[in-house]
Amino acid sequence: MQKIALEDAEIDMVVAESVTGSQGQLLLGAGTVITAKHIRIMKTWGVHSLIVEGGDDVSEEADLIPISDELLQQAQLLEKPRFCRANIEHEVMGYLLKEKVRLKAIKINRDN
Amino acid sequence: MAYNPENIIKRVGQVASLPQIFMKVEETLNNPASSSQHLARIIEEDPALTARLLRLANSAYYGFAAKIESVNHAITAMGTQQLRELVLACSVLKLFKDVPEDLVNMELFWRHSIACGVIARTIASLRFETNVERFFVAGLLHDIGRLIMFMQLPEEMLPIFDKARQEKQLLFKIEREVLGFNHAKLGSLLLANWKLAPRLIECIEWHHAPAMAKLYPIDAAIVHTSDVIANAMEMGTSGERLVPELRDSAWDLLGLPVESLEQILKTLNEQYAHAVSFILGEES
Amino acid sequence: MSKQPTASNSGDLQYLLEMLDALVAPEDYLSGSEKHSSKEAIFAAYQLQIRQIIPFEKMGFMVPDEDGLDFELEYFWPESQIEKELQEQLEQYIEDRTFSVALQQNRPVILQKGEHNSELEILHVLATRSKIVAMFFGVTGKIKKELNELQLKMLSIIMANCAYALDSNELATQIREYNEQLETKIEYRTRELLTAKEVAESANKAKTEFLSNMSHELRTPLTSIIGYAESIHQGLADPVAQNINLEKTKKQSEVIIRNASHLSQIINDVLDLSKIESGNLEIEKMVFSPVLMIEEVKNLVTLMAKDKNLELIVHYQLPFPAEIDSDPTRLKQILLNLSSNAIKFTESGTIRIEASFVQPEQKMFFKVIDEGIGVAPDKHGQIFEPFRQADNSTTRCFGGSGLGLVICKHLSEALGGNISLKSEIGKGTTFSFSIATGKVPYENLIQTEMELFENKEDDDDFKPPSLQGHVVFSEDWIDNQDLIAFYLENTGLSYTATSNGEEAVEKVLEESPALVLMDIQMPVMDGMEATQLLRACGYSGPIVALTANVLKDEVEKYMANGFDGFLAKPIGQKKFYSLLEQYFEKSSISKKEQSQDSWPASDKFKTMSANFASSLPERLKELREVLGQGDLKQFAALVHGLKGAGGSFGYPEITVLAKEMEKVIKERAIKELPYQVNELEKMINDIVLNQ
Repeated sequence: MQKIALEDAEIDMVVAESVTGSQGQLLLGAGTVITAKHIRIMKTWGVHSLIVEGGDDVSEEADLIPISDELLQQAQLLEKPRFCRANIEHEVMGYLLKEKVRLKAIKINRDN
Repeated sequence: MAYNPENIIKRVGQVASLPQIFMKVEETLNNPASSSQHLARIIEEDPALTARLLRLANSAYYGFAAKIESVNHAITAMGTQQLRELVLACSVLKLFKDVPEDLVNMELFWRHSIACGVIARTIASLRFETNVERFFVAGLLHDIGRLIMFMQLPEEMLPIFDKARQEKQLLFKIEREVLGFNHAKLGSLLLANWKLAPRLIECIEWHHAPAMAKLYPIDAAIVHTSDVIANAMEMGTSGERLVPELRDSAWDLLGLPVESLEQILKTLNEQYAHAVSFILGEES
Repeated sequence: MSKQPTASNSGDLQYLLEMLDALVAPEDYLSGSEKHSSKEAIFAAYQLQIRQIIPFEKMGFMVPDEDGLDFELEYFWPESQIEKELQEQLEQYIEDRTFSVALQQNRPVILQKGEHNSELEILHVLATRSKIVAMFFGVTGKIKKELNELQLKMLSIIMANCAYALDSNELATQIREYNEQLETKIEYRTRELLTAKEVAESANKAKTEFLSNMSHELRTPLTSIIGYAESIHQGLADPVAQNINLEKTKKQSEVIIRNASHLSQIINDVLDLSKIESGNLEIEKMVFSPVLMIEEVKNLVTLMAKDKNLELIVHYQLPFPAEIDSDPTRLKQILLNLSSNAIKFTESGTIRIEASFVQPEQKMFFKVIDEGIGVAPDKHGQIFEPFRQADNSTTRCFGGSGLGLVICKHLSEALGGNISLKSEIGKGTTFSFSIATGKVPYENLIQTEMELFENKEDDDDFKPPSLQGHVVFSEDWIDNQDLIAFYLENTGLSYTATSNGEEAVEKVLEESPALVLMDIQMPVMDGMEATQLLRACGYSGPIVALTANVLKDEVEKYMANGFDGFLAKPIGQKKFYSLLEQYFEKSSISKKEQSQDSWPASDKFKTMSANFASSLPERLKELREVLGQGDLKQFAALVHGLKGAGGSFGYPEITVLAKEMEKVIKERAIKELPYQVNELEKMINDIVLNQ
């Protein structure tokens, strides 16, 4: 997988992660083989970059590195106190906590 | 010990007032028949402001092919009203350039404010609001009251920080406990003193209690939600260490599905770093 | 903004009011809202309003496709020539992302063109709170005066209005479509209900018609039966007339028998159908020879066909299975039913039965082809439905319960096949049906005509078995009592007749018979109660129910209440004897079957037998006469009579000889006949001498 700018996207590339538009709508599902029309659609909806199959340049994109459960637990312990006054039972807060924990875990991983 | 927030603002008003150029821009825009050419001429009279404004405009339009290189271009791309919002943002940013940093890390403060602004703009955009820069500015200025506190009440702020840390309590609640008012109230009074729009004043006054906003509860809810998200994602800080509670009613008022959080965070991720470098670049 | 926009002079205010007027003006498309407002109409109305605010020279609206992702130019103004130009410009804006910028903000995106930026191109999204509906694209010519904020704000308001108008139009279209669907659905349902109602009514009507047909069908034979029975009864009461009317009485009793068996057929049909309808039709699977079964049907049907001078042909398509696994009784029932139908509706010509076997499908196919009146095409469907004949009037002409074909259909389906018909009015009808045969191994396939009839047994005649033992039976109807007594006498069994349950219990306990036959419905004490009582008293011998009610539930009830078996009424000889054979050892004398002494000798039977013996010389004389006249038909009839009666009255040798004679007649070896008649004479002389 590699992350590329839309300008570098070419016909017949395979989308590795689904592409969403500026309003969050699904434009292309993972596995789509890119056509000229797809590029036009991505331009229409303000897509700047996308992740496609192929290439080995994954290190730059931290999102793509798998995170171990252990790291996630560590991150959870670190993040939890900041959320002590937050209503994490709310779906939105739950999502935010989970996402923050994930980012923290990536950061710990990177710092090591 | 009783503090009168009005008095504090009066004191501030003497040192920190909005620049003349902003007043001129306001005047021009208030004329229904005025043209954008006219507005551009007025702004371009202040090259420093122009440069700052174009950076800001480009931060909002990051990712688009054409770079905004002139005020005229900015006006056509964003519209005069949105440009006005950015003029305001620039003016305020300039105004608080020299806050003593022993109590607050100004970079972290503005990072939090920028994150909040970008999120607010994204939410507004998802809601197809007509003037999304208004929300950017509201996010940018939402904690301006806290800056006033750092400047005007440095003695009082230290025990407030201590108490919040000890009690693991949100800072704005301790502010109110100790001072009788919080930074949201103080910020709104400053904006009122500057005679800014009631809409902006209201959403800053109630960004911790959006249900209290009388005329613009949705605007207040947007800023509230943006503040919570910015805090949760730990993007800068205005002194607050804890993540505030998200009001159910505020989220419901936005009418967005939970899935849109993904889009919000994605946009934030895309725009945040650029916005920070465009806005704070000059300073750092 | 903190300050309201101020009108610095009356000209500004005038300008503002004019602009607002344009907005307030009622939309044209709305005034026509009673009709269906199309997208086109909405765009047309709004482009007018837009030009009142900003003097565009060209305009277009782009609309997303079905997926909502790709935009296409759908409406443009002023004329079609500009379509290409607008399209090209829009493509460029998509390419340089201006389009996506415009898509993301609910405000005009203005692009300056031309000399001194005096020409403007404006993109404006049309979005509701929840979705993007379209994109507006407008091109101004050289404009003298710059656009002001007010114009742009108003453009945004018009765009929002237009977006909601389009959205609500779409919703209205959806609702309309939904309504139409709903209406169609309701209409469809109503039609379905009406049809169902009609079907129900017609079924009900058919049932009523059937009932009246039935009562007609039941009454007709009953009338004959009662009438002739009374007449016989009267004749017997008049001793003087007795001798004179003997021949007439015989004919009358024949009518009674014929009508009674017809009645019995109708009742059987109704019972069969009720079993089918209640799902109680039982199919018995056994291995049997289809050829034998078909030949049996052939023999029965030939007699009927002869009555109407019709020819009957049975054709076997080779190879043909020697044995199949199916229910012979039910298969026979179908074939008989269809054949007798064919005969019923055919006045002259041939009835043809075709049988074939298809190895891969493991199915036998039958065709019963007639040259009769035929069935109208529109009746083909309902002919297999209960209570229908193709035409109710046919019932009057041809009789029948109208249930035969229904039963055939169910039976063929129960046997793993189906039934259909082809017919042409006036030319005839072909009924085709199939049945599953189970696996037929190749070696079990008959390949030649010869083999086909090799195993054919002639079981035309049967004799009552010679049995020993004692029976107690109970039957309240005196006629039936006599009949049962007669049958029992034929087998040599001793018996005690009783006419109600109480009496039966008494006798059984007294005599400890080897078998009890128990009628169910009887006065004083019914059979069920009597049986329970007997079991309670410790009688452990077999008790068999005599009943007309042989539905599955009833039978199960009998078994649960102490019965060992049942015999369905009316009681036929063959059935009765085979039942008895289950419970009694054949007596030792039965080995000498050919011996005259072996025959049970009740007084009644002795008399009957003696009468037969003494009539023999007369019959012989008649035979010689007819043969002399060359009336072979009459001769055959007389021989047939001898064949039937000989064995029944204790002279099986006569039956054997008569059978041989029939064979000779069939083979047209007439020269043989006189010799056989001589032989018969010898036999008769012996009998007469031994009397």
